[in-house]
Amino acid sequence: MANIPSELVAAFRGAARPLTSEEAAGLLPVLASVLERCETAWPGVRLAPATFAAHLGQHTPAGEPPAQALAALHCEDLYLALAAVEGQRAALDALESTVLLPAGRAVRRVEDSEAFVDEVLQLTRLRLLVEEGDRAPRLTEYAGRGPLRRWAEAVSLGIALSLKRRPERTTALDDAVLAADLGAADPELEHIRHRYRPAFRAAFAEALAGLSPRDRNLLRLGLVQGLGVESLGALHQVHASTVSRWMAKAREALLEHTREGLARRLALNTSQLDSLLRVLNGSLEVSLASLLKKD
Amino acid sequence: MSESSPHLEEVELLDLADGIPSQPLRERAESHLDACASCREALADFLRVRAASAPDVHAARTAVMVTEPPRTRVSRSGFPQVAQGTLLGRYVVLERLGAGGMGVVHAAYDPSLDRRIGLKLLRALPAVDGSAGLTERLLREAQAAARTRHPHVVTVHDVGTFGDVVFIAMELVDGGTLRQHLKASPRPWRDVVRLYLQAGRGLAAAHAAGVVHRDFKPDNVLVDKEGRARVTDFGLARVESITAGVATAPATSPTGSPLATTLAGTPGYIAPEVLAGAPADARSDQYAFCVSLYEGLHGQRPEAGEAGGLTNRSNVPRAVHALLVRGLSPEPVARHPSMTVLLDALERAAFPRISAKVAAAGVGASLAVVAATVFAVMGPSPCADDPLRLASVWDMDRKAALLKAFQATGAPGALAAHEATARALDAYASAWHVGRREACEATRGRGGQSEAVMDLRMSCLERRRRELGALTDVLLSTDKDRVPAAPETVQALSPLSRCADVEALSQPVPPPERPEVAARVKAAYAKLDDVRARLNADRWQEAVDRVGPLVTEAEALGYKPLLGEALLIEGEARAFLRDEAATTTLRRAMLASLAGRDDLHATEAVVHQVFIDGEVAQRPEQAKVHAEEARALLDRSGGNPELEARLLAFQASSLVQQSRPADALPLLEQSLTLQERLSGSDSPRVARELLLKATALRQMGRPEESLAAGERAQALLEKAYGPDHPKVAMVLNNRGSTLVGMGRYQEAHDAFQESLTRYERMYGPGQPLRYVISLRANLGAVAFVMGHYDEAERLQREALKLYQQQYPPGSAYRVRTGNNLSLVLTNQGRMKEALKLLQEMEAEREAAAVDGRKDPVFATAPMHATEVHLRMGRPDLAVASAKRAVALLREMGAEGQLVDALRNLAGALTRAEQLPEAWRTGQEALVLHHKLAGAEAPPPPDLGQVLGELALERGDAAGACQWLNDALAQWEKTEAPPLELAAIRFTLARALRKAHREPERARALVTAARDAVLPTAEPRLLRLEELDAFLREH
Repeated sequence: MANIPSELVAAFRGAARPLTSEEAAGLLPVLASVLERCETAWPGVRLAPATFAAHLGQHTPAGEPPAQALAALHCEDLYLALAAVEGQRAALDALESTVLLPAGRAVRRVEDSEAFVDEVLQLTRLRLLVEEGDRAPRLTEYAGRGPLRRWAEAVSLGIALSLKRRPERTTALDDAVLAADLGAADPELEHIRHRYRPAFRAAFAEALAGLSPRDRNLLRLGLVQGLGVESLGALHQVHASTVSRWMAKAREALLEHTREGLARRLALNTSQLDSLLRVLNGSLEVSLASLLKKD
Repeated sequence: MSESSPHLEEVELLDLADGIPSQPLRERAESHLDACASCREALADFLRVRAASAPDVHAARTAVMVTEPPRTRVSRSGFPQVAQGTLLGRYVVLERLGAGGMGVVHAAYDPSLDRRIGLKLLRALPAVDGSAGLTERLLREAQAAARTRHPHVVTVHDVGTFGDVVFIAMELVDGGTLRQHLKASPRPWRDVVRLYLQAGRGLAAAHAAGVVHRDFKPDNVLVDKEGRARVTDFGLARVESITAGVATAPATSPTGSPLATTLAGTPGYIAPEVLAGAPADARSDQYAFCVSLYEGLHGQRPEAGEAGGLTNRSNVPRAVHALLVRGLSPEPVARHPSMTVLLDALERAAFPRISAKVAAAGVGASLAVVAATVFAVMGPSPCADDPLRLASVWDMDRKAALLKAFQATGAPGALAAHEATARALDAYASAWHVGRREACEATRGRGGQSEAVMDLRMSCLERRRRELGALTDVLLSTDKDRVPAAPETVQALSPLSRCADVEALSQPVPPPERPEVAARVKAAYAKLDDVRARLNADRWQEAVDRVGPLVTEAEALGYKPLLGEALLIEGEARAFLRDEAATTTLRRAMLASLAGRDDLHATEAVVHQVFIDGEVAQRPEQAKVHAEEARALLDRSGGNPELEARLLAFQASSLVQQSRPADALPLLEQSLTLQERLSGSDSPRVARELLLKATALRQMGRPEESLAAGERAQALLEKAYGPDHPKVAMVLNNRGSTLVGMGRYQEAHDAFQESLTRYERMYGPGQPLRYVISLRANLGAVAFVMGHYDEAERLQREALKLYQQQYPPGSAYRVRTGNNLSLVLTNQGRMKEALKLLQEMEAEREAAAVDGRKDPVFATAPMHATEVHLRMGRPDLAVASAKRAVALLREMGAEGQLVDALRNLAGALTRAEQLPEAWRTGQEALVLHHKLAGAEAPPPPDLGQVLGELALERGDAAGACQWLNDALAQWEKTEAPPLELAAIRFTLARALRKAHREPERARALVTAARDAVLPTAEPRLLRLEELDAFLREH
C-alpha cells in the first residue's frame, strides 16, 4: 500500500465539506481500510488512491460524520465504477460479469429474446461509459448509495422499457383520460355536455386538485395506465383490497366534489341542484368519463 | 416547485416498483408523480415489468457477486450462521431447511425472480494467502456447471460469495434425496432403474456441455413430488473438498497446499483412477453412477475385491447386471464409451419394447403417493408448505373418492363434472397454501406483521380449510341431480383474499376469551362452516335444518358476530328456497351483525334482502329501501367491491322484473365493471350481470345487443363449466325469448329445444320440473306465433296445469301462461273461453295485490282482453281494458312494457273512433320507444301498424302508406305466418286505394289477407264480406 495517509485525507477533504481536526484524524484509518477493501475486491483494478479518495469525498453526504457516512457507502462499487469510467480493462471485465450480466436477467422480463437483451445491454454500455454530447458518462453519476448492480439494472430496465414503449402511449397523458375507466357515453346528458362543458371541466379540475397526491396518483396509475390493484398494492406495500378501497373512496370524492363545484358554478339553488342531480343520477359518474375523454 | 423537481431516476423507479423506497424517496415521488406524466408512465412500466412473471432466466449466465459486505457469522464448526430475515445480496433468508456435510440450506426469497429458492451456504473459506484467487477459480467452475439446463438437473440460479461464505442459489425442490426415497419403502427393481435412468440423462446432458459432476451419489439426486429425479450439486465437490479439508484438518497438511492433498468425491463412489490421482472425467462419473445404481438395486455398494465377478444379489436381469459390471470396470477404457451409450443400453435391457416416454410417465404415477419426504425431513419450518395440512380435506384420496361418488350417481357427464370440480378444488387448495405461507412469512419472514395479525389471518384460513372440507364432504354424498352443478358449487367457496384483508378481519368484536366459552364459539363456527358448504352446494333445505340449533347456540353464547353469520346463512338458504320468511331472518341477521360490529356480514344480509323483495316477493318498494340501507352500510365500511357488485346486480334485477330496463342498465354496467375488475372479464361470475343485461336490452327493443350479451355469457359459462350446466341451459332459454321478439321463430324454437335437451341430459327426463315447464310453455308460445295452434294449446294447457300445482294464486308464472293460452283460444275463435280465462287471470292479480306483489305481467291479461273485445265488435270494452293495462304499468313505472300497452290502447281508440286521443297515445308510445331503443331505432312493426291505421282514419292516406309500408317490410323479414300479416296488408291496401296509388298491389295484398283468414274460425280477424267488397269495387 504505497500511499501517504495525509494525502488521502487531503484529497478527500478537498472534495467534501470542511472537516474538523478530530474528524480528519478519525478519517485516516477508515480511508485506508476502505482502500484496502476495494483493492482486494477487484483484482487487477487499480486507481490512484488520491483520485479515489477525492471521489469518495464527493459522494460522502454532508449531514453526518464522514467516517459514519463512508461506512454506509458502497465503496467497492464506487471504486469499480470510477475505474470503469477511466477505461481500465480489468474494471470493464468485472463490470461486465458482475453488473451487466445480472442486469440482462432483469431485462429478460421485458422481452425474453437474446437479440433484445443484447441490444439493451449494448445501449446500456454506451449510456454508462460513453459521453453523449455535453453529458458525462452516466456511470459518473453513480453515488454508491445502493449496490451498483441494482443501479445498473434499473438503468438498463429504463432503456429496455423505452425501447418497448409504443409511440402513441407517449402522448395523451393529460387527465382527460383519467375517467376513461368510468364507463361509456350517456345520451341523456348530451345536451348538458354541450351547454355546461366549461363548467364541468372547471369543476372536475378543481375536484381533482382537491384530492391528496396519493389519491390522484392512484387514480391516474390505475385508470390511465391501467395498472391492477395488485401492482398498486405492491407500490404502497398494502393489500390489494386496501388499494381498491382507497380508489373507491378517491373516485367517490372526485365525483362528489365535481357535483358540488358544478352546482356552485351553475348557481343552482338546492332544489334546482337536486333536480339536476336527479337527472344526472347514477350516470354522472359515467358521463364525467365521456365528457373528459372528448376534450 | 414540484413541477421543476428532477425526474425520478431509474433506480428510484425500481425501488418504488419493488415496494422498497426510502421514506424521503416515497415523499418526493408522491409530489413529483403528481406533476409529471412521463414519470408516471415510466413508473407504470416498471411496475408492470416487475409484476410480470419471471421468464426463463436460467439461460443467463451467473456472476460472482462480492459487492455485498457479509453479514454472516461463522460458527465454531465452520457452518455459516444466518438469522432468518437477513438480507444476503438480493436474497431474503427464510427458514433453515437443513444442514448437510457441506453447509446449511435455507429457503430464501428472491425478489428478482419473485419466488422461493433454496440457498446453500458453504463452509467459510479459510483465509489462506492467495485463497481469493482460488475461490474465484472454483466458483467459475461451479458456474460453468450451473449452466447445465435439463429436466433432470436441479437448476442453479446464481453462485457467488457473500464475504467469505460461498453461496449457491438454486431451485427449491419439494421432495427428498434419492437415497431417502429408496429407503422409505422397498421398490421393484424396475422403478429403481427408471429413476436412475432419469438422473443419468441429467448427468449425460452435463457431460455434453463439458461439465463433470465429480461427486455423483444417491444423496446428490433429488426426487420431487411428481417423482422426477434431478441431479444436484454439480462440480461442487471440489469447493467442498478444499473448504472441508482446511477447516477440519489444517494440521495434517503441513505443506499448506490443500488442493493437492484433498480429494473430490465421496469414498466408495470414487473411481479407482481418480483415487490414484488422475483427474475426474465423464468416465469417473459413469463409475459413480454405476456404484449408485448397484447400491439402489442391491442395497449395498459393490465390494471392492469382487470387481471381476460382481454378484447379482437379487432378481435383476442378467443384461442389466452385465451393463453395470462393465461400467464398474477399474480401467476407464473398459467402461462404456459414454453415459448416453450406457443409458440407452440400460433402457433397452430393463424395458424391452417400452419407450422412454412410458418409463417417465410410469414413475410419476407410481410415486405420487409417497410424495413429500420434503426438505421437511431435514427440519420443519413454520412457513413451509405442508401438503398434509389439507390431508383428508382435499387430497389425492378424496379426489379419487369424489370421482367414484360422481360416477356412482349415474349422472351423465359425471366425468366432465368431476374434472372441472377437481380442477377448481385444486386451485383453491393451492391458493390456500399460498395464503397460509404468506400470512406466516409476513410475520416470521419479513417481520413487518405482528403475531396478533398473523393469528387473525391464520384463524380465517383455518375456517376456510374447514369450509373446504365440509364442501368436499357434501360433494361426496352428492346425488344425480346435483352433479352438474358441482363445479359452480366450488366457485361459491368464500374467497381466500378476505383472509389477507387485515383491516376487515380486525373489525368484528373479538371472540370471548373465557376458555370454556371460547371453545363453544369455536365449535359453533366449525358447524357453521359445514352449513355454509351445504348452502354453497345448493342444498338449501339441509342448510336451513342444520343452522337452526346453531342460531339457538349463538343466542345462548351471546356472541353477536356468530349469531349474525348463522342467521345470514339461514336467510340466504331461505331466499333460494323462495321462502319469504327469509326477509325476517335476514333482518335479524343484519341487526346481530351490526351489534357485533361485523359490517361485512351485516351488509351481506341487507344485500340479500334486496334480492328477496325485488325478485322473489315482487315487492319493489321494499327492495328499494333495502338497497339504500345496503348502500349506507357499504359507505360506512369503506366499500367492498364484491358486495357492491352483488348489490348493483340485485337492484338491477328488481328493475328488470318491473320492466324498467332503462333504469336497470346503468346499474348493470357498473356491476359488470366491478365484477370484471374483481374476477377478470372471462370469469363465469360475470355471467350473472350479462344475463340480466341481455334481458334489459331485450325489453328496450335492442335485440341484437341482447343476443350479443347472451352469447358472451354462454361462452364464459361453457368455458368454465362445460356445455351441460344448468346456467348454460338458462342462457339458451333467454336467447330463445329474444329470438321470438325478433320474429326468428325457427331459431327460437331450436334454442328452447336445445335448452330443454341439455336440462334433461343433466337431470333426466322431465327434470328439473320448474325449468322444464317453462321451456315447454315457451315452445308453446313459438308454436302459436308460427300458427300451429293445436300444438300451442296442448303445450300451454299442460304448463298451466303444472304451474297451478306448483305456485300459489298471483304467481307471475301462472298468469303469464294463462295469458298466452288466451291468445291461442282467441285465434281459434273461442272468444268466450278466452274471456273467461282472462277474467281468472285478473282475479289472480287481485290476490297478488292483497299480498303486496307487483309485476308487469298482470297488465298482459287486460291487453289480451282488448283484442278479444275488438274481435267481438265491442270497441268500448276494448278501450276500457286497454286503459286498465296502461294504468297498471304507469303505476309501476314499467317502461319496457308500457310501449306495447300504449300501442294496444292506441289501436283500440282508433277502432272506437276516438281519434285525437288515439293520436296522443300513439305519439307517447313512439317517444317512449325512442327513449329506450335510441332515436334512430325504427318503431316495432306492430306500433307502426297502429300508427298507420290511425293516420288512415284521420284521412292522411299518404302518411298511412308510409307507416304501413315500413311496418310491413319489417314484418316480412320475420317468419310471421300470413295470418299475422293479414290485418296490416288489408289496412295498407285501403290506404293505397285512398291515396290512388298502386291499385294492382292493393288487390294483391287483399287477396293474400283473404287467403290467410279464410281457413280460420268465426269471428275472423277480418270479415270476409269486407275483403270481398274491396275486391269487387274495381
